[in-house]
Amino acid sequence: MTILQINNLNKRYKKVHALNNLDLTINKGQVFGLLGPNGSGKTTTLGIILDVIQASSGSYSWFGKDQSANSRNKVGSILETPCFYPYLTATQNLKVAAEIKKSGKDRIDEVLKIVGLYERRNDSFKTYSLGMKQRLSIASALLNDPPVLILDEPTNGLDPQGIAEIRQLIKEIADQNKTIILASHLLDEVQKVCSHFAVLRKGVKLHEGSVHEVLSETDEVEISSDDESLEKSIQDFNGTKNYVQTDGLFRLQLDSSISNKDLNEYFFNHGITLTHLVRNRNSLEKEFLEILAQND
Amino acid sequence: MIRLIRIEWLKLRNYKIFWILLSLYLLAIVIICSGGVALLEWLKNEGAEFNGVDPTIIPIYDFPDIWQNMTWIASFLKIIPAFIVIISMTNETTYRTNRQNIIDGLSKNEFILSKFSLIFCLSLISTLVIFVNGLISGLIHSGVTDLNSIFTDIEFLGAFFIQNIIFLFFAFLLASMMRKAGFVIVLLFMYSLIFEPVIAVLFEHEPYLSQEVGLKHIAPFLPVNAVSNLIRVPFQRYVFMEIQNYIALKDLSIAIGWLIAFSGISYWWFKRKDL
Repeated sequence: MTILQINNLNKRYKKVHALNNLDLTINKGQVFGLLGPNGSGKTTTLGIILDVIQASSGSYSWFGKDQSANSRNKVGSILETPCFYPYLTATQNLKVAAEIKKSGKDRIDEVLKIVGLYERRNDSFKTYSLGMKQRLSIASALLNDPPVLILDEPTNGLDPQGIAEIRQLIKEIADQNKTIILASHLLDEVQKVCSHFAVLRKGVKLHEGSVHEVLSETDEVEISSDDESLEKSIQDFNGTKNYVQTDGLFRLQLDSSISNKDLNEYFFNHGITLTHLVRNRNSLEKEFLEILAQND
Repeated sequence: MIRLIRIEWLKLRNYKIFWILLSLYLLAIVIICSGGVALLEWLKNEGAEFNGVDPTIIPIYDFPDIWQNMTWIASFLKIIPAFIVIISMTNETTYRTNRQNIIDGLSKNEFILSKFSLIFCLSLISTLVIFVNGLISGLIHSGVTDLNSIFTDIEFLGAFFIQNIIFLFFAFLLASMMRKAGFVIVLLFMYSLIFEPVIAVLFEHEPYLSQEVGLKHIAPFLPVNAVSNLIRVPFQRYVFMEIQNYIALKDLSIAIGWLIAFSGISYWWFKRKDL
């Protein structure tokens, strides 16, 4: 089922073409990462699909229907900076949000407990630290248990513990078969939680696909040994796709299903003792930089 | 609609500045409107007299004249609820909660309507306070208290209500275009109390401008002037001068025209703006 369909979206500011013919399809259950350097159009895209920015041309639809405020009720959003009424307490702020989302007020205490703000619920928002403000916006997004969640740089400005908590939360939510759209320039973050991703730069989509496909094809493993017959054994090993040798160090392109243990065992059985064995995991970061370089 | 009023209420209910401004405003209405007797007493003690008449017998609280007298005086206070509207709107912009509201699922139309409902409620409350206050003062001081006299000229309350609505829409329009509450307040103050009145006087009475250029016909169309013209100055009647003691259809039409313009432009502006 298609959750979000974006067709030919354009946004022009006076001098900048912030989005250029963007097409995007996000299906149910995907954890979709929107990647790109700063200023690539991630937040503009999210702003448009949430109706706070007017597109210059193009269209989008939520849940297969036309854009309407009703569909936004089913989307929980956590954007860059948490926006709440500073003079209201957490509970009072969530009451406003509940009224807007047309959801009952009975879940307010529950979501405050989930994000760990229950003890501070009667303090006004302006007294909160950045991490607490961020957590309140998560609470607000969870208020009506939405099937879709949008996160824009959700870990910005959080301490390592806060970042880990948010990641955990995203995973828990994704496990409930919910759809998540995550914009970030932290590739590590996307790699850890996303199933699909798209790369934007200067408003142009450079790549769209599954994270798994990009990462799982091959791994690179470095090995070396004092044994002369190493190269012959490498050629005989049927997991090897390709290899290069530099200064006695072999770099093997291996099927990623082959573990270091498998490899070690194989050489050991051929009477070769490895003096060096390092696996360079394919990272999204590497792929990302490659995609950007290819399109230069 | 009830939902939109409730949203606005939840935002303001725990906002101290809102309550301070609102109480000051209502208090000011009551003081100004009930203070007439005290003022006349004071004038008497100071030895003032009008053509040999004792000021305290001037029947400013007599039905039905009381309605025009009170609404005319109270209309000077409408700048205070305008502050409430301005602060309520610029707060949303400053805290970016307008954006958050839309993201949470309020449509832009609903957001605008919730602010319009604030304008409506504030105007309604002030009109009700004037009505109750007028009724009480009148029943105490008026020479005539039959129902017919009480409810004659009650349309001045309607005019007062419309005056407030239009002026608050004007304030809302400025507030939706600018970020800084202080700036909008100063601008509104300067324009409605200084610039436009001066321009209006020039248009109406400066010989060259008013006669030769013909600008005196423009003067009634200036927004703040149009709003105040709904209720004309009533007090010359106590020195036996002719006054306009009714609401002229022409004045009403111009005022309604501004109401449509202010609400329409602010709606259009907010609709096309990126938040």
